[in-house]
Amino acid sequence: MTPMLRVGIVAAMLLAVVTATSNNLPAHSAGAKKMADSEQTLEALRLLLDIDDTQLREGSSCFGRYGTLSPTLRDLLAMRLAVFDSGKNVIEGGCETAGATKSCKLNFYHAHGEDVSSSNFTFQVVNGKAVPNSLECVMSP
Amino acid sequence: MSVYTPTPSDHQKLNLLEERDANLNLALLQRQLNALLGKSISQICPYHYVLGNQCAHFVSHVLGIQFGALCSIRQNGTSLRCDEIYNSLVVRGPWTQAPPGLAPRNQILIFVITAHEVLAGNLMTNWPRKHVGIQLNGRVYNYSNTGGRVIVDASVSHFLSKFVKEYSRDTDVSLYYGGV
Repeated sequence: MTPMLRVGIVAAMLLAVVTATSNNLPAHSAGAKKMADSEQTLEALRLLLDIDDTQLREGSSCFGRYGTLSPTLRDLLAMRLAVFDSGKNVIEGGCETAGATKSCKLNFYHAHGEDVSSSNFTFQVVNGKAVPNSLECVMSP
Repeated sequence: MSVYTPTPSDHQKLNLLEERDANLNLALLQRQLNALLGKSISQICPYHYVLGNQCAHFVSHVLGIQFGALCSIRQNGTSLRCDEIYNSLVVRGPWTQAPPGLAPRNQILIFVITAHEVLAGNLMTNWPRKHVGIQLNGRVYNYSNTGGRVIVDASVSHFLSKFVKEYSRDTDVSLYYGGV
């Protein structure tokens, strides 16, 4: 991915996070909590983007046709985020540690009338890095 | 011991029986779909799986489709993604090229997506703006995500024009069929 494209994807994601947060944030309450939520989302986003060159193999829950011969997570993210140009767009997620295992989840949601889609990602983290083989996706429609 | 050889008359009777069965199945399907009108996916999915867009999830429960990601892994879950359903069907293609004999003997799935996202080899991408319903006797049963319930569009052309409007940011929004 070119640096420009990577910056573009990150910018779109962060914009969506900001939009989601501002849409959900009550006027006079829970500001500190929402900031923490956004920071959690940011952590999960960074970890996922670090493995964006992961090949999506047939049989993986993330596999699909993304307009390239050998699709990668980057192709998936680009396609699923490309519709974040209208309507309500939400990116939210976070990571938690249970025992020796750290796992993260990240959810994309888009709605503009009947144009509704969602992408949910889960993955594990070892030594501060997302584990590509642990990545699982549930997408609709 | 003589070997039974079906006569032309037997073949005719068999065809009539098959046709009667097919019509009976379609009548049962229509009754089932009409009974689901107005229902939400949480009333249809026994696992109460609710996530994002439910159009593919709805048709999969009605027709028992199990390709790719399912609403339940441990149990008898059904499909969630339009592209995984479409790409797994043997009989599929642009709506205008649907074989004349396919309807009404088969339940026809009707997909709507920009034509740019159906690639060579009739493979649908995972482009998020897409929808699927069940075409039966000219009407399209599908899941409204804004209403959160099963609806029926009075005609295929109404279904298409609705999504041309809904997907106004896409060009060449087109219909595709899939035989189940």
